[in-house]
Amino acid sequence: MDLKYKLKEMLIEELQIEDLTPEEIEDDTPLFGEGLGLDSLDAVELVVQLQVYFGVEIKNIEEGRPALQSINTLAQFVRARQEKSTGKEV
Amino acid sequence: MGRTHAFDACSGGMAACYGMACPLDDLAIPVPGENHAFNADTSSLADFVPKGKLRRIDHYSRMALLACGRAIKDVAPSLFPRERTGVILATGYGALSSTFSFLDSYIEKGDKLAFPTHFSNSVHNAAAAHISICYNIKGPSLTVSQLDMSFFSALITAGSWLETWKTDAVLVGTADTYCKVMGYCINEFSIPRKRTPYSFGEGAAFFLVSRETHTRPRYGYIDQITMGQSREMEIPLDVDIIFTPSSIDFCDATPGELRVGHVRELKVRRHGFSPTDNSMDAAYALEGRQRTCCIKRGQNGAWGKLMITPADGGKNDEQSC
Repeated sequence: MDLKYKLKEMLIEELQIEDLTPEEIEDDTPLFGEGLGLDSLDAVELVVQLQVYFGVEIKNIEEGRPALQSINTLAQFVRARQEKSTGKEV
Repeated sequence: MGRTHAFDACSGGMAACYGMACPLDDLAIPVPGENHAFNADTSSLADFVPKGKLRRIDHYSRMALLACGRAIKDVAPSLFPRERTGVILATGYGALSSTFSFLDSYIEKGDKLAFPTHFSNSVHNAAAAHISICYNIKGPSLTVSQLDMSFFSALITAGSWLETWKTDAVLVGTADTYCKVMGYCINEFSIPRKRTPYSFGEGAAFFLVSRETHTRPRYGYIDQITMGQSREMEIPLDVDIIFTPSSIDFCDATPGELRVGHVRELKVRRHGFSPTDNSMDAAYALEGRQRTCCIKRGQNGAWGKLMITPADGGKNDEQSC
């Protein structure tokens, strides 16, 4: 399954977004604020779930802020980290 | 989920959203794979709170919100000054599912990967806080957890708030959840469960109580709330008595131990087994026409007694105990 789709499923499942399906989340929709409307507690939850689902750690805000902008940036971040740790393309 | 009632306590309003085992009730959902266990359906909560606000709120808080919402809907707005109304939530075990989920995540994945949302829902006063926030209630907010005696303790506190004019009204209620761990413990360790075919469930009930006024209350009066530690208790004359299911052992040994004047009717509810099921007694008592004494025996000989006079039954000061 596509990484972006998995990320969207994870968002819906773990952040309890009941009114959306993965297909309805645009890849470039902002996750916080006006887009999906997530907040700071969601950010903490996201950091935990990224590690649970993908084994990828966001170590600090300098890494987190650019990574958590949208599904696109999140997928890019996960892919890069996984390639770095395994040496293989996801 | 049990019956949905809408009636007032004292001069306020109350609605009950029960999770006790009344299989025919519209909000009871059988728990898959378990006999005699029911979950509560909270889908109608969207009628009271926008869905967006409910996103991170867990099932335990949703039950409390739904029961409270129904109580508020039942109340005349003049009896419910939000700036001067408090919230007291009684619970035996709190948000069990969220607590165990958080603990599981901590045990399985370590402290760095414990689930933040489950933790926030397991916080002691989370449900009462959600009630205050969602319903814009500005008075004090409190959660009481005293296992079997939680509801009595909450009522005593509500009375003290009213007596000291800390608030003009109190939304006092109970909530307890059912989860797999609870089901396992009940099946493995519960002696009454083995002896009598109880059903188990979850739910919430809320009452709006206020100081007695010259106006006849819509549903009734709470005349007395007592807690003690003794094998004997005084029972007033000429009342109905309701024993909660968790008092069944005491009830069986009762006749010589209660100093009973003239018991009009003795009722033992055989459904429901929850630390806070005596809130259901209060609701049942207000449905009736007779003055009722609700008794619950707790652990280590503790007991609670609640005297209720339904509005139809009238209030007789000479028989107060």
